[in-house]
Amino acid sequence: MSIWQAFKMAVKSVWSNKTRSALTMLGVIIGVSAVIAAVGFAQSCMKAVSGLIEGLGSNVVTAVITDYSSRNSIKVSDLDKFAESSPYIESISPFVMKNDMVRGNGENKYTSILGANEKYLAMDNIEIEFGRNISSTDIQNSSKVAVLCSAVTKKLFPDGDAIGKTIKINGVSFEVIGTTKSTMNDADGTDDDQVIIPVNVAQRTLKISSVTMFMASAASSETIDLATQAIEKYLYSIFKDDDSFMIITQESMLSMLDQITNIMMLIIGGVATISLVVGGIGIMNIMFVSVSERTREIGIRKAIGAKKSDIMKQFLIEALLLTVVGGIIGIVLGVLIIKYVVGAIDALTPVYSKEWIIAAFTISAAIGIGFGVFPANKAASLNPIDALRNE
Amino acid sequence: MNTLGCLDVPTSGKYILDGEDVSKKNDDELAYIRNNKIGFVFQGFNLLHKLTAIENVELPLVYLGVSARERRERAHKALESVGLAERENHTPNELSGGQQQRVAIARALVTNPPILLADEPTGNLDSKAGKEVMDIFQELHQKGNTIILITHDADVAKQGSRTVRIQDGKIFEEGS
Repeated sequence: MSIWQAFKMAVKSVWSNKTRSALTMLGVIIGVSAVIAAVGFAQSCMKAVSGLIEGLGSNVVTAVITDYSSRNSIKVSDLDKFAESSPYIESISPFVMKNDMVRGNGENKYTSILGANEKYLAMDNIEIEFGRNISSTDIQNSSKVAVLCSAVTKKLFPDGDAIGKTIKINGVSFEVIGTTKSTMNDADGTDDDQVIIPVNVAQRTLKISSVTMFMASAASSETIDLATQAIEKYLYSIFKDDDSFMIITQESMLSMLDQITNIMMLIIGGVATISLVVGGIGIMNIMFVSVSERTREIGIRKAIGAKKSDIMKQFLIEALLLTVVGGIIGIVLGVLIIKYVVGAIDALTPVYSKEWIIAAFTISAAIGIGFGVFPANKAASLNPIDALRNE
Repeated sequence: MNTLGCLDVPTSGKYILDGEDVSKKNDDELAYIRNNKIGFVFQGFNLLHKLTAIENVELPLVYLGVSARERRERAHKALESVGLAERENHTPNELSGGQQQRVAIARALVTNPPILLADEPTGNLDSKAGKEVMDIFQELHQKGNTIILITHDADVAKQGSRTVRIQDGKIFEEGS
């Protein structure tokens, strides 16, 4: 008997038991669509996060001091001296930051207050829209001036007219000297949701004496490694401990993201495999029932000349048909979920993974064969005399 | 009956069918012999209920590997020879017992086997339908088919050209 004949028989048999076939397929449909949707969601998230990281700029290094209890600390003046002495560091800006309430124009906004110097905006790719950046003179004079980033401007001064106005941070008045353009690369808007003031003023106003974080840029992306090493050496000379600080570069974050992605994919892959195996067991179950139900049919087929392999083919193709059709429906459903559910989240751009779609389909087909073999073999091995006697 | 029909091999002794010793054949070879050399007619018809009459008749040809068009043609002829050509697209449930048995005979005939093996073919039929079926067997016999018919019914047995009586597994009486 040709495969085509066996296929036609299988289609007929699957079709004549529509409800049962649909229910059997459901396991595979849910399994495959869950895999594809979960992977698509994870990959869409990862893509958004890596977009954020890429927005950091490839020649920028951020150092975070994690050991607050240390007797050692960095002063703003130390940092400037270090930057001047190192040939690989082009510019550096200390950070003193705290989340606090900003009042102005009769409005309140809870935002991040960032004490930095005049070099910060350029390093973080933030552009001035109106007014000016803080200057080195502002720092020398400890001027109480502030640059508002776009989200803050929008809340406090919805009409956009902020320059020259006064805002209050921690009870201290600041004059707004500039506002920034919105940064498009930043999906959750952290770069847009802050107020920048001179670093020495921030230390006094926020009552933070030491620098907890700083950002430095290398002359080019080629010298970023050398700059990173110089910073590492400098921080080690102060803290004498690798665990007291953390250095973040675009590269280190991307490789970390890569690791996270891989782990997530492994977890999803594991869960997906389990759900597909459960679907496969469902198919095996139904196929066994089908074999017992059709014992007499198998006997008749054998009596009129069906070989063992003919019966095997018929049942195997039936199982395969259920998983393959289930797999295709699952893929369509999964892609639709990515398109309409993931696509509905503003921050995410849907990602469809060809590899995972192919993998999910292949696994479901393999499960069809794998779990179809036992029932098919049972059917094929039936003794025609016993099978015919079965009522 | 099972041995004659090559559904089973004898535990001892020899069975020579159409010049071939079938006692030592394997499963697939037996399947081929059942397909090609024996046409079964059962007491309970044993048609597949999801298939139409003509599809049932075609089934042995499917396993023989005959092309779809030739299958249709031969199945149609076989149904014609049992007088059911106009009912070929009905499923067994839409046919009477006698008609179902005639479909089964057509199925047995369609591969042109040297032997038709009928196990109590009239056992589930009323006397009128039984007579119809026996008439077909007579007709086939006249055309030169070998028919082995197993029955309890003395009237049916009378119609054979050679009768073998088996009692408790032993040949009890043989005559023509």
